Amino acid sequence: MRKGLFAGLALMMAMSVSAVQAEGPVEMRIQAMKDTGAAMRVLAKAAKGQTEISLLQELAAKTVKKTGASIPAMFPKGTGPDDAMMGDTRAKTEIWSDWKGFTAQATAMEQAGDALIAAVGAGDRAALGAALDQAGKACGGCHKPYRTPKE
Amino acid sequence: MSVFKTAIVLVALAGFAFVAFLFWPRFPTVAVDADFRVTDRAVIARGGYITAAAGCVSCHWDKEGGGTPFAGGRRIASPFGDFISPNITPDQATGIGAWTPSDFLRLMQHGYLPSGQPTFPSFPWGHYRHISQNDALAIYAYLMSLAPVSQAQRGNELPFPLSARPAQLVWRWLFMPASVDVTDRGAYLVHALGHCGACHTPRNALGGRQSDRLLEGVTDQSGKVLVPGLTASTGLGNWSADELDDFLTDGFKPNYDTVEGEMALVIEHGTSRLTAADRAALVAYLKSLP
Repeated sequence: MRKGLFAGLALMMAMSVSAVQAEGPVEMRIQAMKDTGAAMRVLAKAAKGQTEISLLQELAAKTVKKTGASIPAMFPKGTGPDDAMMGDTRAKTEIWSDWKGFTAQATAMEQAGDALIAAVGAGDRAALGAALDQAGKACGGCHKPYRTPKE
Repeated sequence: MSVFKTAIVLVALAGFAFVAFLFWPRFPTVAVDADFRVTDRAVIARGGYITAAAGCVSCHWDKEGGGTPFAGGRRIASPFGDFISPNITPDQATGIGAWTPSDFLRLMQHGYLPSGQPTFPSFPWGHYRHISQNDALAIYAYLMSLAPVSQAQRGNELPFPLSARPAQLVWRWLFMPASVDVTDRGAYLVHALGHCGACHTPRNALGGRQSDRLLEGVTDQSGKVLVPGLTASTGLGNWSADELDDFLTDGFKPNYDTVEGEMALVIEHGTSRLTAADRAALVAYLKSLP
């Protein structure tokens, strides 16, 4: 438990540092995705029984939910690949031409976050695994149609 | 006739004979097991599994164009031109419905079409020839059990002389890599069925796989990684066996980014459907590469 607490604090610190470092909208999005990836990893390890479910997982579950809730605001108009100064973004123009479909995936992620929070709260590994599958589908459901693959 | 004229005639005759030699249809001997029954349900079921492990549907399906699985029509770009994958459903006219088990084995084991002409290396028979005869016939039985789809083959879009199938014989003679040892189950899944090296082994300027650099990945001239290597020193060194197993199951990298590109298809249709034991063998083999 103490180990979890320290790790949780470390994660929080890492996230607050990264929030300071992030500048433009693209950098902010990339950092949010990295943080979410780290959170997913923490949750997956617990679901597999490699670590216990503790405060760290609670924080991670909340991170996933928060990312889902923040995604629409993180992609304002004018931050696509064709816009000035957004050269590094792999966001596709389809995000804005299919805004409804895009935000539906964000909502799916937010809901998966709720399921994760519930599973962590109940200390239920099986439910955590199922919620992770749900979150994973939301990740892929957005990356496939709305992100340009790395060259 | 002068000596000079005789020489010209002889050279022309030799050239003609060489071209005729290349165009001559070839039917290497294959022997189908006497007890093979294409309608055997157990064989078909096993064939479905082997077909998934061999990743056939990733190429033989124009998913983006709204096609049917195994009916082909997918465009496969290469530096030498575009290949259009053929229909491998058992339709008599447009698919492989008229193929005999021997026809199929001749393709899988020797790379020759039923016409006697060589297949292009876009069909990875250099890998598939390592597949056991039992497994190859199981794939055949599975494909023959599918619903036939009538979808005519669109031609490959290759420049001459690459478009001429007989030219393949010269290419084969120059570049076909030596066989690899696939007695280990993981090696069999990687090299024979999974044909990982088709993308993950670097190729020379003429498209020949560099068999001394097996699975070392592909980089461009500036050193940018185009296809990651699968050996410890070229790509997977920082991945634990567990992380690799997870990646091949659900497509999440160790940093929980999602898989992209062709590998997404490989995981979706192939490695995620392997039994846990097979996937573990595959992972163990890859992790054993220095």
